[in-house]
Amino acid sequence: MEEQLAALAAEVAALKTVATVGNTTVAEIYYYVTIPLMVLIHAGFLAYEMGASRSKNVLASGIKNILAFAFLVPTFYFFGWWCYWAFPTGFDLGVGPFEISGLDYANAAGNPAGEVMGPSLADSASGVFWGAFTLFGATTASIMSGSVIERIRLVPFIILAVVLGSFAWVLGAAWGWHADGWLVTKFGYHDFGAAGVVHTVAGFFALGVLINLGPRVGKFNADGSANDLPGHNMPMTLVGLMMIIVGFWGFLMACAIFPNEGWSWSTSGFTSIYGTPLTLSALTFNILMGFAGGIIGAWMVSRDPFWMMSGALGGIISCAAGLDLWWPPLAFAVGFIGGAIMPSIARFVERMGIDDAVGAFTVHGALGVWGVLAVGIFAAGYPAIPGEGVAMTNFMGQLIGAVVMVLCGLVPGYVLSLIMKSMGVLRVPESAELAGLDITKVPSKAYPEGMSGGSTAPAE
Amino acid sequence: MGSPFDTGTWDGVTGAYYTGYGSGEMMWLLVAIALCVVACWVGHRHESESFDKNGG
Repeated sequence: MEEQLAALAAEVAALKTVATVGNTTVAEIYYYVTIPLMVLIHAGFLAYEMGASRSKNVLASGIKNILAFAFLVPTFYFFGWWCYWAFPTGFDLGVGPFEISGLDYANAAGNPAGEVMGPSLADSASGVFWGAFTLFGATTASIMSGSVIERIRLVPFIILAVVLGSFAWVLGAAWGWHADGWLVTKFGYHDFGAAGVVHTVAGFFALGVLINLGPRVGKFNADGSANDLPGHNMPMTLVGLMMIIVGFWGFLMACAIFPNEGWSWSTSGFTSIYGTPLTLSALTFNILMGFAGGIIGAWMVSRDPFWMMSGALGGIISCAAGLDLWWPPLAFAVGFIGGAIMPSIARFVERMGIDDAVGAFTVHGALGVWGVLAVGIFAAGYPAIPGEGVAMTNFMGQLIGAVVMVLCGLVPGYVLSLIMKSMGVLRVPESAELAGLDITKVPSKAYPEGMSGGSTAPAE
Repeated sequence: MGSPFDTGTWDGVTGAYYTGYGSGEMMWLLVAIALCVVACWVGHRHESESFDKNGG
């Protein structure tokens, strides 16, 4: 009998080991897979921006986009990851209620010289988590990248991209996309899919830069009316947008926390980054409905293929903050509203004299705010974090969160670009802009045997 | 619309938890259907006008 019990105990121990290893490996694979999917976002932005550029600026736009991604990787490693863990309670580097924040925690989890920031047989999570967040940061830089095409200098742009992607959005995420974040614990801020922390921050950062950068030559006439400066390849832009949609599945997948790991919130199911329960089934319902609503809403009011396809992204962004909570037909309606208001917002921005070449502020900044507020309007009353007596989702909390995200983007984008402008390093020379950045900066031609490198914009 | 439970905690919540569970489903279902119908009607009208205007 004793021998049988001993054998049974040994078998149970062996099974537990197998289960632990298996589950750890599955979690690691889950986050690993999100990363190439998110790289697809960048392939999409690359196609999108190059298609939206005139043929004389195609390669310059592409290089700018690729380099933003490239510089985000080491800088997020150097300090971005540390900032996410250090600042949730504010600039005091304090420890939040779940004790996964503050100076000591950041030094343990995000110290670039620390052992968790490299291969370790005892750690199968740090690399894939860091990688997922790095890709989130690179997404913010790509958002800004499109708005400033055809006239921004390369190195100042890279500096702006690093500040946005390795610091500004990270601050917003520490405060509003972390269970210890003060916006969450004190105001019940809820932003499952980062509508505020990624899209609002990046969109308003882009706006701050655009104010100082100025419009492309030929965009506006003396009387303030705007000229259309069409990109040289709309099909490339549309396919690029669809690739971004594919990549966003990876982005949203990485927003969920895998269960039953040492670092998991739950042993039985997926949770949000705040520790609140959700299912991938819920995300699937609402991502597809929001995507569809955005396209249909944009098509109904605009008919422009560019805005229609942008509606896909706009619809998802509109629903992102509450993807874990919506009744799916409501997600369709929220996405539809986002898609439908996009063209009007873009026209307003243009009337203000802002040349946002790809509508980055409209799609990400404005609809990011709509997405955050939509949770306050339609999804109030949910506990924001696990436990009892916690803050609940509410409209004021979402409004405060939206304002904070706007400031996290607008202030650094405006101030830094203003400094660059005063130093005379923000914008390319006008002669280069008129001749084309491919032959003056890269220097190379995108279509050496084909398309003319000249532009037909009236003012030129 | 909003949270269908008012216990103030996720503890003990099982089953459906989406916004308006048990109250607003039909309304939003009808809204979504209506939006699709309206979009198609507006789109059809524009398409016809576009053909008329552009010699189609």
